[in-house]
Amino acid sequence: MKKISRLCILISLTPSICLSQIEYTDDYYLSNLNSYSLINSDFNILTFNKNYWFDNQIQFRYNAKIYYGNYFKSVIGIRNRFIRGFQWEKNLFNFRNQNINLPNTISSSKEKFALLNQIDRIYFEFDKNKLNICMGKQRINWGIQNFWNSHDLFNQLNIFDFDYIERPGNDAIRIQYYLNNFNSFEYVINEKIKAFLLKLNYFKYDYQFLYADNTDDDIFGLGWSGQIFKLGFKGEFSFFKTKLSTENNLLVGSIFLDYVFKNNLYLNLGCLYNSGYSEFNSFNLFNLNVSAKSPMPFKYNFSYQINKSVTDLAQIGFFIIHDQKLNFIFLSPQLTYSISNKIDLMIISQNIWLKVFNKSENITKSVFTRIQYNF
Amino acid sequence: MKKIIILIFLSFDLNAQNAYEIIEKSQNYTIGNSQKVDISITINRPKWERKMSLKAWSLGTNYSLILITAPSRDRGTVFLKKENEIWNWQPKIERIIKLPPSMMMQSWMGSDFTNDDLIRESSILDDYSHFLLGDTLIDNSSCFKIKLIPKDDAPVVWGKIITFIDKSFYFQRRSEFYDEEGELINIMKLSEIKLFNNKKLPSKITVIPIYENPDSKTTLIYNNIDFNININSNFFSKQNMKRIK
Repeated sequence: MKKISRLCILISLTPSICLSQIEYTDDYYLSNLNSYSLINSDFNILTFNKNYWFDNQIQFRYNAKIYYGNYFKSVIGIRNRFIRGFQWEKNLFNFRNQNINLPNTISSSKEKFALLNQIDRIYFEFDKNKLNICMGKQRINWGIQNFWNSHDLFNQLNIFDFDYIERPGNDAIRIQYYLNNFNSFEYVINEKIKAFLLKLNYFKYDYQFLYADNTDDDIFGLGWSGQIFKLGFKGEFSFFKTKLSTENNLLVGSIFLDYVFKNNLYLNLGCLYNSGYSEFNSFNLFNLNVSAKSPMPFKYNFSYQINKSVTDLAQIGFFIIHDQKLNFIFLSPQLTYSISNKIDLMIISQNIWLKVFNKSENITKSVFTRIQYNF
Repeated sequence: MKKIIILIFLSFDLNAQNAYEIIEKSQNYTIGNSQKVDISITINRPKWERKMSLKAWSLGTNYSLILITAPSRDRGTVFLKKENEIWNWQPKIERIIKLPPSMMMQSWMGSDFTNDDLIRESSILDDYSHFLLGDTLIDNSSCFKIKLIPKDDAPVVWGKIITFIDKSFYFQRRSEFYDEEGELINIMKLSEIKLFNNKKLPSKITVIPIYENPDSKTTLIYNNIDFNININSNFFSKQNMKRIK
């Protein structure tokens, strides 16, 4: 399956296809992300006794599409990053290893900094009439909501990682067939999983039904997106029927409501249920490997998102997450500002409180500033 | 006395009928059966300016599809409308999102247009009652002056609209948008008449947020309009949201 990406390049160079009319488009951006982080001194054993540190990441993202006539297309996406700072130097929370070991990554790393070049998209696509076939490293985004997607089997979003909106691709073959304008059927196969997705639109609701067979589970999913009066109403649930004798079956699901007031205030309320967790354990958070099976490491999770345009160029927001007993609280105020037609500024703070020995402690505080130039 | 009251009611009814026909004729003239437009938008504020451009396709008033072509951060974003359902394709996250109906009230990407102005979820014909107020001159052209009052539960932002329709060519020359308290919020001026596919139409639309910021404006320029293009409802599909360029 890993050879699919190479196969894509070969197909894209096939002379018969190249004889068609070729069209090329690309887009790219450059961003500079600085972060300043503090940790509660009671926990600085995790950070080599350092209470605060600084990190920096300069990212150049490049995406290109080549169209061969009307029906064939190849796509490549490259993520180039220059990383420096304490996280890199000390391999904090396994940061260095995680980045070096990303698939399709060439790294030129030193003790103090690293240059990482990663091809996270490379695929070939055939798209004619109602059929779409896509082969290679691609993003398969089956989630309905902005986060906590139990249907996103291929690429779960880690809500704490706001700087990588594209997400890495998966090596897979994907076949989509459109039954009509708004209903479709999908089949995806890769090394670990075979999955089917049926999307329907009836009575002003979008519905999706999922079945997947992966190494560990049979997965059955149901999701919807519609409205109750003028409120947006979305939900997605998945049942993971385990094939392993050591694991239990799981139900993971989330429901979201959102509304935009006349003064442009956007409100989003969400709840995530995961039957796989019972008692609160803060170590689950540090060891979290985000997946459709475990978007968050607690049984009940609640989210509140408020965004408001304060001027035509500036928007402020607050994002709050907590578990059912307020053992975990995440608070993230945000500001975005359009400096020019091409330059955007974003300032985000991420703050985590955890209950330790019946006392709520502010564990970490971080401030991120990002300037992005869109070419 | 009874006859006079009946006549007054009848005259209101006739006026409403005429006003509806004028709006219908105007809509048929300016939108046609189907169209494709190429638009540039400039947002002007006292201290800054932003530009964007888009392509849009429509079929009657039930279907529309909008592709953002600039600025680069939003390039490739697509909005699809089917009757009163709206979807948004975000190419960066490769996901189609169904938008809540309340989002129609938001401003269109920071401009003085609302999402509803561009996507036309509400129907100027079906969601309003129409009253002919008389004739007047706008830019030295004789125009019908028509009042639009939203019907109960109509998905509209405004409390009242006064629109001025050119008597010769049946396109709008000016519209005034009032909130539910009767305050004049926005003024829309249509100017620079050009010939598009043998139809005379305003090529420039200027919206001034007269209540909140009279020194600001958003200008929309039609670079090109093609009428009665060869598309049917199959064009307005989720598949085409990802495919269109």
